[in-house]
Amino acid sequence: MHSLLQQLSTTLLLSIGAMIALTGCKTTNVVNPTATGGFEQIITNGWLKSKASVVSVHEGVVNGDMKKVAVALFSDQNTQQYFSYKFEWFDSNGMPIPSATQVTTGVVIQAKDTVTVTSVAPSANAARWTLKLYDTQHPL
Amino acid sequence: MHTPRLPLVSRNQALRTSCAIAAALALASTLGCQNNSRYVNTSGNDVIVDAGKMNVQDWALLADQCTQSMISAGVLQRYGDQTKPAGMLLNALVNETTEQFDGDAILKKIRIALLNTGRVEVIMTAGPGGRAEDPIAQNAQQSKAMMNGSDNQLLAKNTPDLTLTAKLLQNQTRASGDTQTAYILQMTLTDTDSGRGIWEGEANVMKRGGKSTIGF
Repeated sequence: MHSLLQQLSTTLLLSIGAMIALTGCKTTNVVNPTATGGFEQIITNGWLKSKASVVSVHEGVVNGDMKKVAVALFSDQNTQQYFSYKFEWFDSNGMPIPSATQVTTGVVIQAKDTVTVTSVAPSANAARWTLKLYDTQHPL
Repeated sequence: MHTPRLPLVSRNQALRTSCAIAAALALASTLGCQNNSRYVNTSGNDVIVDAGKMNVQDWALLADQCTQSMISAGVLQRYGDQTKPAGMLLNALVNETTEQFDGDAILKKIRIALLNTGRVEVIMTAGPGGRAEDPIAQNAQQSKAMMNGSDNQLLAKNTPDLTLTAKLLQNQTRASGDTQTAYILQMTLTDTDSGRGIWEGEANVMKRGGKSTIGF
């Protein structure tokens, strides 16, 4: 009876662990530019980072006065992986700038490969961007 | 005190039952509320995806690719700036797909994105054959032009500097019960002075699947 209870509690603990892991895979990783021209990654999902880790950020100006950003992401995985991303833009006061074409885009990344995601600011008032990365395929 | 031991078969059965209950609880906790109607983020990644049909996400993806390409090309800055934007007229979307939907679902997003650049304005009071997109504004402009002794059809501001054409194509194939559909948006920007195309862009969205699902 004692071993039966032990097995039951182990099963329940495993189920709870799986539920926590499944909830964890929904968290978002965020990339922000820094004042020095670099970038910072806010990692809440280690699995997502293993298949979409920022290796470089390039900023430029197109059409005379509109910011453009290109972020290179590397996958350390040995198989093809999936994730999605969305850029958000803010003005100099930190107010979000809405865009009719803002959309979450899915990406297929090959093993040990690098992909570059880009975004053009929705208006010339855009001063700062943030990149949000989402997991779309968890191994569990 | 003597505790009766369960026979081995009963213990295995109890274990299997408890595993089934635990699994059902775990599944119910993650999927339990999915049948309830709810609002979803239109720019998020949990909209319903149907491999054989366009959705709001596809319209945004196509519009985003085309506008980013056009703005990055830098052609708009040759025609207007923030103080004197170029005038533009857009042709209706040529829908070559098997799906019935309003072409403005895509074109309106492109117009908004182009207007937000500050280098382009859409002409609302003139159009092919005198058919303006906004007839009330056209009448108001005609009245003002008459009061000033001019003809609004001859106003330079009603003549577009740039025009845009757009065509949407579809390619669908099936294999092993899966449907793969590609939607291709092709656009051309024309300079009305030279009559030449100054920018062309193509955007693609491809989906594959057996039945509708939520998210990517």
